[in-house]
Amino acid sequence: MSVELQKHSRGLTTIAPVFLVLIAAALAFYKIAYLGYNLDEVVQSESYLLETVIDFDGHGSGIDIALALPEKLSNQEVSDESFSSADLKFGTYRAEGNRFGRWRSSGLTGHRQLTYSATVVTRNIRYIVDSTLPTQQEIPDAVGASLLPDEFTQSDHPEIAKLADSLGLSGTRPIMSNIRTIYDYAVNDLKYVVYSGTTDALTTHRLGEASCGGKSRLMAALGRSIGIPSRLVGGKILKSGQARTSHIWVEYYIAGQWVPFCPTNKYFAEIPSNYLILYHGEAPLLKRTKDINFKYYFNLRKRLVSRAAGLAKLKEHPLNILNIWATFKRAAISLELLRIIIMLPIGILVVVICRNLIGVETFGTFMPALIAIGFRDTGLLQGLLLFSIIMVFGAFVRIVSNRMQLLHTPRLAFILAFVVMFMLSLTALGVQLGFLNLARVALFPMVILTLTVERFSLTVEEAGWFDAVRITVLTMSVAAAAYSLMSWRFLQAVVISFPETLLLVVVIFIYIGRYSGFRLSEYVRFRHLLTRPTR
Amino acid sequence: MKMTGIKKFLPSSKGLLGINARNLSYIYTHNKREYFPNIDNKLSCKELLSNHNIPTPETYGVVDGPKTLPNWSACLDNVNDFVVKPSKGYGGMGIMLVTHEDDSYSNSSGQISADDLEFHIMQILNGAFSLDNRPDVAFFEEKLSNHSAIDTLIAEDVGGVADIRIIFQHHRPVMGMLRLPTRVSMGKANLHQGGLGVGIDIETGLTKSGCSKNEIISIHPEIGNKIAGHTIPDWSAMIEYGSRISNIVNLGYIGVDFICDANKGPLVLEVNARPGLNIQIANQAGLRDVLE
Repeated sequence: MSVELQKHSRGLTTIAPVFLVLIAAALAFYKIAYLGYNLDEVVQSESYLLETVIDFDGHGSGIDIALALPEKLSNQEVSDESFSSADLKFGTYRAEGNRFGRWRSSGLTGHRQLTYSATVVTRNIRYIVDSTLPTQQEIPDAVGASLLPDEFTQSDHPEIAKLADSLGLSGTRPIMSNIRTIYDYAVNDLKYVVYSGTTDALTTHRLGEASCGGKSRLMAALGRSIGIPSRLVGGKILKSGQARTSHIWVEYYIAGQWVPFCPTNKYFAEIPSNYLILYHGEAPLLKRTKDINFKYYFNLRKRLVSRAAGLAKLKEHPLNILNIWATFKRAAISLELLRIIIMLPIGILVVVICRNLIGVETFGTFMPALIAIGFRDTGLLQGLLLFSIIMVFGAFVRIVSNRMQLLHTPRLAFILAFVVMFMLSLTALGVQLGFLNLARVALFPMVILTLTVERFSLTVEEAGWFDAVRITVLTMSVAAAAYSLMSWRFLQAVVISFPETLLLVVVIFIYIGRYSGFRLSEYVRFRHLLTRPTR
Repeated sequence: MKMTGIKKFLPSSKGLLGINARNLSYIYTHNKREYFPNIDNKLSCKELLSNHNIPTPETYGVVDGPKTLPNWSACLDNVNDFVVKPSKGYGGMGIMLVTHEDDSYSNSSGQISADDLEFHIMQILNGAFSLDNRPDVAFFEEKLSNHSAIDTLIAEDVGGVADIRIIFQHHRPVMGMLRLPTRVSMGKANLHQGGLGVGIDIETGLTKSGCSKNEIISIHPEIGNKIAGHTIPDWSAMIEYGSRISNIVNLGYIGVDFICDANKGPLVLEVNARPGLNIQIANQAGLRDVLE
């Protein structure tokens, strides 16, 4: 009977992997050959998670805050936008060609935090302009306003006109010659200094120095003074980390398109790949009610991501019922959730390898992979730290509950309740102190934490503190390894575009499941027997 | 199989059985899941073995639910020492050795009250020590003592009972080991907790080498005696009992735990369907070499 069973399973374990690999290959082939899947299109090498965090204190009166939001332009794509609005009303609106998110409340008191987050992908564009184009050009009505002087760009001021004259600018020269002169002047003759607040064109000229905004406004003023439509561009230089600074550069209207110039970082007719445009013109990055102890910062994290446009294009294909991305989009389920679900088997794969091939002891079978999901919101190091803190707290509660001699299930519930309250306190503390990652601890899987606490405490009782701590460290290590693979954006993009990759993971499960050799740890366990001479 | 390709590149396992191979080649093929309940429930397993004239420790009484809980001590009126056990416990969890004098109870950690004991029984009923925390049954069993021949291998100040594990493949004994409680293990005959494992020659019933955790030893660390050369009492009786159990419980690869009691001789304590692998270190021999 058992021999028969073994033969049967042997046949299946030989055929099943071949079958699964064939299905996966066929699906991938179908998608590439007939549906136009292209890995380059769906896998974008570089993107940033942009997070704008706004803090303020309400004092009972009305609150009105508007934030300029990035949008899709020729150099940039924006996806996965999300807003947190506390108890304020939120909406988006357009004004003067820009898009804003607006938070309002008729009156509130106390501290609030608002966040905007989005995945942004930017690219470098160089403009090649015919050097003989004249400065005089046909200007559409919509662009006309960009010739007029304004509060900060005093293009009609005699001193600006005088400066234009002395630089040799003239409406009869080719447009690119004029622009080159202005650009060289702004780059070489205006000293760069860091100013806070708005510096207008005239002040910049008089001082001979300015920050990015002043330099750009003087460039715009000089451009307008000789009839070149000019406008400011406000944005963010993409670089991982937390910062408050934003950046300003200038665009000239040349032969039907707006061409960017940055006198601060020296880009001539070019927008570099790390510039994200947030608004055009003098629109403020943030408009807000006064006297609310207002603070804001940008948080940027570099990562790899599937390009929304690539995936969206595939979605339109009428035959593509296999597009999991589009399915989730249609069901209005967040893409972040899709990432968790689709990467879970990958995390489990790490656990299976650690347990069955290496022989690492962990609490619970899949617990490390589930813990790894919790790290997604806090980041790895802070996740590990928070996890340890909560474990210690939970173990303490467990000791107290032991003194009370509670029955098993109510005791678990007792611990769970305290773990929940402790995590909420950490979240409140995080918000109060402005540590957003600490606040995210609320997204930790609480039941998993509670069960880990219980396993930890049981191990302390059965095998002592040393073993309990040892297994905790091993569990965390496996969780960290699972997290690293699950959060690898390239792999995510591949698996989301080609979910059949998971069939290959299943094949690995089958092979590991039939691996009857030693686990690595057994070479250590039996080392004394393995090193003795064979009899 | 498929993996032989990869195994070629790994160091030789020298006839030793690893967890993966034990599960794949022996447990899954010899032990069908449907027969696990025959041994997972210790009470019914004892009954099953008794019906086949295999001696097991005496059961004083059973607490199988809240109704019988208030009268738990009724069956213990004339008993001094006893053991409280969960019927579906695993890994020795929830087992408590109790000494009963007049109206007071004590266990290994000292004096305990009747309420403490009742709470422990309640914990057992609630499944605190059973697999998956399923509701369980608690029972009282006689406390056994070591045969004098085995007692000489245990330090005098160590309480606790030694047991003998024999692995059977169907009716055939393949490897045996005496497990001795030590000061380190605090009286428990559990290798993980610091008990000593002593390999036994299957043919002769004489002790061979030994191990402490994963280290090989030839001298008892707490007494200083040589470990090899001691005769296990009633060895042939244990082999005889054990060789019948595989058929009775319908499992083909089992570890049978015996206790050699000073008065009653060999008794089957429990049967394990996933016997551990450290027995190989105690015997300095691989299971692969002796299994068919």
